[in-house]
Amino acid sequence: MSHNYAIHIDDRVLEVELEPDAEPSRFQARIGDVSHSIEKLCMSAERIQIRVDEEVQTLAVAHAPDGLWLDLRGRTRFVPFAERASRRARKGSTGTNADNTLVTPATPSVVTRILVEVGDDVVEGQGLVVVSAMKMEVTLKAGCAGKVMTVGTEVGAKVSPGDILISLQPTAVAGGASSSSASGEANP
Amino acid sequence: MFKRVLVANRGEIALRIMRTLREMAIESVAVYSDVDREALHTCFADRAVCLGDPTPSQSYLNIGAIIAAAKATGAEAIHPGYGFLSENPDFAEQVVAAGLVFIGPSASAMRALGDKTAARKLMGARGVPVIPGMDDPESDPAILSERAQQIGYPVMLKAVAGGGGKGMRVVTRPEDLAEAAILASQEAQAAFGNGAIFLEKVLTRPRHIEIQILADAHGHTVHLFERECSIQRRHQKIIEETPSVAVDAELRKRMGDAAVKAAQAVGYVNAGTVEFLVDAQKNFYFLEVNTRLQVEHPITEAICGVDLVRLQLEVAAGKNLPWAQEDLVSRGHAIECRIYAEDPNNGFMPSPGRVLRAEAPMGPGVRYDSSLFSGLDVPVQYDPILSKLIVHAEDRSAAIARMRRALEECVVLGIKTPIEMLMDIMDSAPFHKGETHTGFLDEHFADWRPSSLPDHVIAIADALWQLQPPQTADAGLSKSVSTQSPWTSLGAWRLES
Repeated sequence: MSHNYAIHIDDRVLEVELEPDAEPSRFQARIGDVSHSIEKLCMSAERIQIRVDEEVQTLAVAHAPDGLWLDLRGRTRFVPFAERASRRARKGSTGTNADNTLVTPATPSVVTRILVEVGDDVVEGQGLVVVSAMKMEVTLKAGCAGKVMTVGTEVGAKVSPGDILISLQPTAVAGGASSSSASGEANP
Repeated sequence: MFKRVLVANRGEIALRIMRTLREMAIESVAVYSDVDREALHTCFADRAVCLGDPTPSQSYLNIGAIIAAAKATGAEAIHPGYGFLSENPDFAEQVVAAGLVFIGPSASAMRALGDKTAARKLMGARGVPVIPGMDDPESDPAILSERAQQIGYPVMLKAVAGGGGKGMRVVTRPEDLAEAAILASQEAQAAFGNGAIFLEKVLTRPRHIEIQILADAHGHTVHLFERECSIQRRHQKIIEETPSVAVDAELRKRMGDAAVKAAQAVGYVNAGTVEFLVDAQKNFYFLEVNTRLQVEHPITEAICGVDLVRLQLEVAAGKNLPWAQEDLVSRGHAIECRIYAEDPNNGFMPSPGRVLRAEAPMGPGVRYDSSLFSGLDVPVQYDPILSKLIVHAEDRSAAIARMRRALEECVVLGIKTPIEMLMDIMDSAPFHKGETHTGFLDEHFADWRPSSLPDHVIAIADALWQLQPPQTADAGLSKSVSTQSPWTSLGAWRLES
């Protein structure tokens, strides 16, 4: 019986089909058209050692709630579990959500300056709030032109990704959708 | 010798200092903010005092609270580590006024050397070569411009009250000087509360080479050779090594003597570092003095076989230096790589988060000064240095191979670190050839990207883990307890006859 897994590496998805062999630690792994013979040598909470097509590969592993951290010869990668991966991709790392009206920090930070007030009109790219993490200051900018609807934080507040610091009412653009509900994708 | 010492710091340096205290049978007192309750330094110390609010000004920069903690625990001395209050003359003064010993130089030595233009003048007057530049702060753009013309472009605008690479600006074209000066002054005002600036000549591809000095309170001053710290990112050091490939015995003697003269000029006591820039013609120029123990001190400890923190404590307790200059010898080659919670693949943005697991590299000639542990939530309030990896070997190429091996063994999972980039630097031809200078990263690694890994190996390992996840440690233990009979584990044995 074979087991299928969708593995998200960076922006690629690899479909892996694992088929146990007769011997207990041996498998066939199919990825696309290519088949690999696998021997499981070690699978502990800290280490994975496998023979892949005659070559032994050793990886350090740590289990996060949303995926695995893997280290191969000193090079570390995070591989999200499949159902969480698409959520991460949509959230993005730019500090605004898919329709650009909600401003959230990309990393846990402290708010150092708030540059706008409720009711202000802003242009795309305008700085809205300055946050600081590990002595580095980052200005979060408006992803679209619009009006500041809410300022949901204050100077000195500790904030995390997902906290909505600023929300904007986008200025309606000719021919374009003007609100988040129009895009049809539920936000995680 | 002191019976109890408070360490006014956190992270890897606080732990490192406490290790020496323990070896000397001196009780250690830690101070910690709310986010450092589980930190290694907090748990290691014999006593720990909570400072509360993690904001630096409320905690590790809170002079009153720290001195109060020392008095409440009966500490006789305070070691300031590096950063935070270590070069704050008001702190040094208040520690002494409170009847405690400050492990470091005097407040007046700090003041004399903390003002960069005053320090330049002092050194120049003692015959220590200084970078061509201005000896007095100046805000008039016309005068700055005139001096810049005399010195020759490019020039570097610097803050008089600055240091650590902050508030610096390079100006290449005369027409940019006036505006750059205004901006530099504003930045300096914001960062240091003092907008005074001056300028110095920018040297082409200089090496940053510093000399470790140590002086006792009885007039003896020695140097413990050089460290080259040329590989920097935005003026922050990331790799240091000793000896420097550019320094021969003659240059070492001249720089060492200049450093000792600099220390003596202000009556310096305890450990300090005199920083120089060295140009391609092997001319060296005074840069500044750091009136504290430096991050990279372990590489000097490695080649000289000394414990600098122990020496700091002994000097502070009134002892003489145990050796004269001619007794000091260096052996082999040492390299240090700093590991920060930063993502080099994302503009070195801080990468806070939870460290799921950290594995320390080991083996011959490897030292790892680390604050990492599984489950550490890297705080956002402080400098993101996580650990330092130091190797020592017989010569430079053995040291590079050792560092390369140790970096690979060094595992940090859960957050991004520059370990992979450090490995690539160790592999690079320019590093092997010793072609290091302060523009090294800009020249060779400006567009660095992580190497690609074999996707199929990662995918198969991940899939297999999901199919047959490992047993947890507890399940494994109970299994082995129930099936392991002492007779099966006994192995071969025989009775003595």
